[in-house]
Amino acid sequence: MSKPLSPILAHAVLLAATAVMLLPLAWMVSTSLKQSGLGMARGIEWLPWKDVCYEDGGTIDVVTLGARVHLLPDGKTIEVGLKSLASRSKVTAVHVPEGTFEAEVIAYRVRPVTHDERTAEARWAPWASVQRRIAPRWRNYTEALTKMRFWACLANTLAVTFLGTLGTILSSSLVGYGFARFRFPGRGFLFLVLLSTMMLPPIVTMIPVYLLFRELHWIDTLLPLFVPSWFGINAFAVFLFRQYYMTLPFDLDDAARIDGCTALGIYTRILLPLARPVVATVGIFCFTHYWLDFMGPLIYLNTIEKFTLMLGLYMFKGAYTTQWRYLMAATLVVSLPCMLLFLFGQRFFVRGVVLSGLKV
Amino acid sequence: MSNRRIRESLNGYLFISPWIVGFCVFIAGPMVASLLLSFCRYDPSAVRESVRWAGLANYTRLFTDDPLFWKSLSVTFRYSIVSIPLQLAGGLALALLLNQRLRGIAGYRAAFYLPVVLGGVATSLIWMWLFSSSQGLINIGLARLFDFLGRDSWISIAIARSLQSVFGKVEEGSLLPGWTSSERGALNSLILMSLWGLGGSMIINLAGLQAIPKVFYEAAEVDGAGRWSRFWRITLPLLSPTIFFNLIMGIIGSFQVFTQGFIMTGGGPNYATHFYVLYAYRNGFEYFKMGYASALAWILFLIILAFTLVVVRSSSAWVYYEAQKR
Amino acid sequence: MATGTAKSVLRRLSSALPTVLLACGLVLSLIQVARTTAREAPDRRVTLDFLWPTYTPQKVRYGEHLAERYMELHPDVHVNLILTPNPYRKLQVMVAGRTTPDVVWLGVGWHQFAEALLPLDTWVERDPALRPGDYFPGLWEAVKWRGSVRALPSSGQTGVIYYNKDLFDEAGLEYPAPDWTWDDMVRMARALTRDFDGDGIIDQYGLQLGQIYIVPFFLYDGQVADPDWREARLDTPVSRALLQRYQALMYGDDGSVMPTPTASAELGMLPMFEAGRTAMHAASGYAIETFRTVQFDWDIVSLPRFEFEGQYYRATGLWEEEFAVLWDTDAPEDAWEFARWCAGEEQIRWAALNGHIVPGHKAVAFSDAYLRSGKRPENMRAFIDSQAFGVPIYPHPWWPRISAEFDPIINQCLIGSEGKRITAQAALAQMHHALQAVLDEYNAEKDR
Repeated sequence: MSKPLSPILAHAVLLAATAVMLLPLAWMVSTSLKQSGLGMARGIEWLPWKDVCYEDGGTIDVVTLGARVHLLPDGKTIEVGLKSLASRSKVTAVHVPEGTFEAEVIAYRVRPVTHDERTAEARWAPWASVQRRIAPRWRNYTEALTKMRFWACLANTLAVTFLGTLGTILSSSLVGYGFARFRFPGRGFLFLVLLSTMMLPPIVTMIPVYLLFRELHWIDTLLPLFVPSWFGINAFAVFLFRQYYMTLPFDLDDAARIDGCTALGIYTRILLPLARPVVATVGIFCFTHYWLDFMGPLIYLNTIEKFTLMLGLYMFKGAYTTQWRYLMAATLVVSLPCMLLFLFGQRFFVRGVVLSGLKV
Repeated sequence: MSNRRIRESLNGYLFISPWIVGFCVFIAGPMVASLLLSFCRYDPSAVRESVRWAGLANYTRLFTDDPLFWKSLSVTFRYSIVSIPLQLAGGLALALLLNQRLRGIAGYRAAFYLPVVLGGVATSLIWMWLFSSSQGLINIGLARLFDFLGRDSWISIAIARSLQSVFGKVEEGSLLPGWTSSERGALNSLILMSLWGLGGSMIINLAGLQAIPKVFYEAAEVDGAGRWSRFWRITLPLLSPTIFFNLIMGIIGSFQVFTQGFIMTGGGPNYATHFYVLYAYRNGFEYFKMGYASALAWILFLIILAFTLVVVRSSSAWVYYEAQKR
Repeated sequence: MATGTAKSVLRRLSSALPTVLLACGLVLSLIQVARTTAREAPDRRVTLDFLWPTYTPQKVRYGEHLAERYMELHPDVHVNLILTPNPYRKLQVMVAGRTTPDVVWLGVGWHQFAEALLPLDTWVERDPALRPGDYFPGLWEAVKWRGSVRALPSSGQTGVIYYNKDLFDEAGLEYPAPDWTWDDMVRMARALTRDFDGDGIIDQYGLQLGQIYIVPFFLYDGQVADPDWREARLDTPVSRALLQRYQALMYGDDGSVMPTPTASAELGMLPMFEAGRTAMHAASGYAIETFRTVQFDWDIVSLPRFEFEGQYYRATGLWEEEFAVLWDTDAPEDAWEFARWCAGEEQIRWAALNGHIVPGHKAVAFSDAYLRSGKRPENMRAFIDSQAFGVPIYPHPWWPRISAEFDPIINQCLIGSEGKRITAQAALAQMHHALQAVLDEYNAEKDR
């Protein structure tokens, strides 16, 4: 670590860079709370606005479509779309094909928001009777999650993630233990083979593995997504366990053996519990891997009831292509667990990424 | 061998047996199978299905009769050639920036790594929305900027033209870039998006940076070396293993880009983002031409292998392992 | 000491907690996996997976009715309705993944799955109540593949001409007779084509023949290829003449009576008829429900006869809906029973009277309840009569590929680019050539 030239400058630069980096996420949250009538305004709107129209003593929710304005220089009255208005004040700039002019807004063209499938008629309302209010639409979340069949997808994803992570931890610690603690002919060679599998592009084995699961009639079930993890093929995890076990003194094994433990007993009673930091690192990495896995579910799952969250999100996009409020809300919810896991378990992530580099 | 050694060996094999089984069933077997499949024609969705031997037909068709093959290769290459150096340099730059002893530096680091844990699908959706040519944040922001600067002013036009030369146009006469909706700009937009995930590379570089013993810097300072000289002569060489790792990972990763192309553009517009793995996936699981898809997969494997070997071979020339005797 | 024991209990709990959580997670995960793996198997003897399209909400109700009613009548059978917006793609994926259903609805283009369907000849023979003679003949031909019956037809859609009676009255024309000819049609169309405000833009067209599969001009003489599908026979004098006249409807020297595809793209062909912008419109039974909402009076008539060198030719697109059983079903008897019931007279009657299909069963088709239901069209018979000269529009398993080859050629003939179009002769020659190439490839593969 180096000392910064000027802490203030450093902070300023870092803050700016961070802001740019996190801007997409902020925009995602902002979009997810917007009311309908998205994309109507001219500028960037961070806050979720809602237009209401006062009439008959009450207010109704409306979507503003355009305005009737009185061009100030020559007094001409024209009607423009909402995108042509620079702001919502009474006197504002108006952008038309001929140019930009100052204008006074006389009335807004509004359409009441209905809560069923019908569309109401648009009408004119005087400028003063239409007001903007900040109104985050929390219901976007419930609606998006329902349309996306969130709970079903969540159950599937949790099951796959849990079983996949558990399988990886159990099997790779076993295999890592085998490589670390026992001498057997071919050990070095086999370990090299194991390491080299990390370089294999998945696409090479994807089709035959699909055909294998097809013979087993496991297509369109969750099984292909996590069963392979129980066979210790996650070379990275095996590597981590092996390295860790190699740092532990043999005395532990000997002590346990004297007490009458079998090899398996040594493993379960001592070495697995001791390897907690590796377990945590591998666990966190596996969790994010299975949670975020897309290609696996894409290939193996065909029925809606079996979709995982990522696949469900993709299908949701297909069905609700232009309804970004829902898409952003769903994306946020689906991403939340991994983000929280990261924020609370940062050191494991960092350690894992670093360890994956060290092996070189 | 003594009884004990035999028992130890057996135990050893026993413990690694899950991996042996898994390796044979999920890795070695399928590798052989897909190699064999690449010499066959097989459509699993045809009912009277049968695997039919086709010799080199798939490969000859690939090289001589399939323009999409070359298009996919060129798209993937273009993506890699631009994004790998950007990733290497950007990751390093970020790591240098975040390697300062500053209060709250951990928070900044977390902010930069956060996009990495979102995954391909979420990232694709977020950026689809950002890149939307009519409602996306970027274009609306640019439109506002052009409003402010004046749509006809020379500076607006300069900004617009330079952006559009890289990221395409929405349509003729517009000042706004087309991003993923334009044929010219789609791939570049995806490359830009990939920079959002620099956090991973940054962490690795950080670890590499922090592994450099202070001694070197102190000695250099004593010798009167400036900042730039210290960077060039100490940091970079000692960081070369990390850079080497990032390069290999970059090659392997960027050649297998799939999710962004699949979700954001479906390979378009007009095959501008038709990545190689996307083509292989489509052949295997949409057209159900599994023999052909296997051939595509093996060619990719060989290409990645070749590039990796070249890098590894060249590493002795530029990768400096401190503890090793050369 | 109370606190001491409490502390030790807490400690033991907290050390046991991870294991407990792990066990719970394991159990719940396994339950979820089991739930998504097993097929729905309530306490019924057999479960039948039934693949059904969700083309319209109406269609979905039809499928739900079939499933529910059958389960009422057969309490030992569970019908698992699998809904999908794209049944062909779904079926293809299911075959590739070996997750095929037991019974499936099929419509046009089913031939690509012909090999996946169970041959039903022996079943049909064994069933005395199922007489192919009860159905329109074209239908049973349409569900055969290489001589064996692969599906049970229920509906036979045909292309007919819908005509706007009000516009005919205005123009002083008599309504089309059932045996009208192509010349009659053109004559009427010309009288019905009007430019009301004299601005040179036609406001009302006389005719819209629409998609090629409704008026299959190249099938009018019934020839696409030889019966074995080895030799293309597309380029015949009749087809050439017909295509030429078809082209002339839009681009003829006497002025056009039919909007070009570009001109109809703005509003859409169906909406143009609804808005009274076309006087005659070719469509199938699918359009009935939509047109029943319009304000003007209309009726239907079969497609006209085409006269060529002293002979009369007639054809219309025929496409059937049918129920098929998959060849690898593990309950062939039950699947057969269900498919048979869906394609039986009773269910055909239900579906026809509820506006879902044009019945393929003659007794239903000729019944008063169907023909004289009081709803439009009055001339419901036209659908049925048309079946006599209906030509299957997807007669070959690779037809999607063949029609994909045809489309650009037809477009060059009927739309053209930059005002230039190819002649009917050239188009048919090219189509003939393309068809032969595909047939050769297909046969080469099949023969290997």
